[in-house]
Amino acid sequence: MVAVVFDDKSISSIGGRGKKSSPALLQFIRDTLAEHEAGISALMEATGFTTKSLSSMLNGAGKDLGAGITALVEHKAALKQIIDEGTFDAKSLSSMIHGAVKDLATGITALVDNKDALKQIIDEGTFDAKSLSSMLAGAGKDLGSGITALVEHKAALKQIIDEGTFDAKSLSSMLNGAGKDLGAGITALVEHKAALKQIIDEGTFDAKNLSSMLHGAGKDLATGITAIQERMPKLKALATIFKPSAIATQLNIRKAKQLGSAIDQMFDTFQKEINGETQIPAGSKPMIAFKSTAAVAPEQQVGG
Amino acid sequence: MKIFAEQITREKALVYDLRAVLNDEQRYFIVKVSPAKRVAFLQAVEKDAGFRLEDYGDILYRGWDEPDADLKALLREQYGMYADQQANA
Repeated sequence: MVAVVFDDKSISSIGGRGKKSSPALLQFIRDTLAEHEAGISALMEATGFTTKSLSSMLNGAGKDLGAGITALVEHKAALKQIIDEGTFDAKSLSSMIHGAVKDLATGITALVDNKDALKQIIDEGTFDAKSLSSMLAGAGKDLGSGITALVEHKAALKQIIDEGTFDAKSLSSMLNGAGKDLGAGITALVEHKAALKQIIDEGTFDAKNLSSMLHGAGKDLATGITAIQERMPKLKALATIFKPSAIATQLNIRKAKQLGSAIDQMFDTFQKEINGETQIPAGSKPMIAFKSTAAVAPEQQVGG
Repeated sequence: MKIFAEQITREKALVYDLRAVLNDEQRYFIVKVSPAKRVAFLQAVEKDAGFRLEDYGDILYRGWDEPDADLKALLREQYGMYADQQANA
């Protein structure tokens, strides 16, 4: 029997998505987990799921925890089969059905029903299991429609990869978490691929930078791409003082819908620096962190 | 000959990795300071009374937090910076 030990962090994540749970709810979760201990242990033994991956799948379950656990336990044979066939590992599976909770059964059924279609995509070499699970992350009960969108659009995605604009990793990064809206995200990519290629061909930002800026854009990909297109002069100006990868990283944390205003804000903030006015204000605690060899001992340089 | 001259110039370059908090963000600036302004630059940093960085030299690179590994490797190779970090790596 596999030991079932959920730490406080896991219990808290099951309680609510990013919200603090009441002591009563936390106690309810502990009691429910204890009640289902034997079933959870059998599930962990069969599938290789850890308490961490289970708490990811049950994220935000709250009062529906019992139903979520029951769905997982009931479908353990199907989940084991998918893992045994080598299509997805436990981590990828838990990523796709993350947060599905009371709809876990629907999500798992969709996975089982569509496992051959997914296996085919992997076998064709367009995407690996990690990329697929990244795009389908958080789809939960809508996993079926997400997979359908992938199957329907796989030729279009393959074409983008074959054309050399983006690789599979960059594509999956932009479509990360799109889930049920995967179809809309892929359509936006196909429609805007010429615009994206043009930006890359201009040479300031590469595919990796763009996919970083658009990471997780999903269904809002079209909005994000348009925001970048319209603000290329501002982005180019920023790239005269910052590495393009650093700009992309700074913008990576924004949602695609807010990308336009984030670029505007960034440009406004650094306009003076772009114009050669880099003010280190009083009280900014400047310090020399490192020096060149010559700066360490300038007197030696003077002495020859 | 040109490459040799460039190497000598780099070996003599006074390059500093300056860190400061600007607009609540941790920033870094890789500054190549003019030899004639070295003392004034160090005093300005020490004084923390506000200054314009371009008054002391050229800003080679800038960014948030700290230089990434690629930039550190480049600066290590060109100016001998971050030698301690390499030893610790």
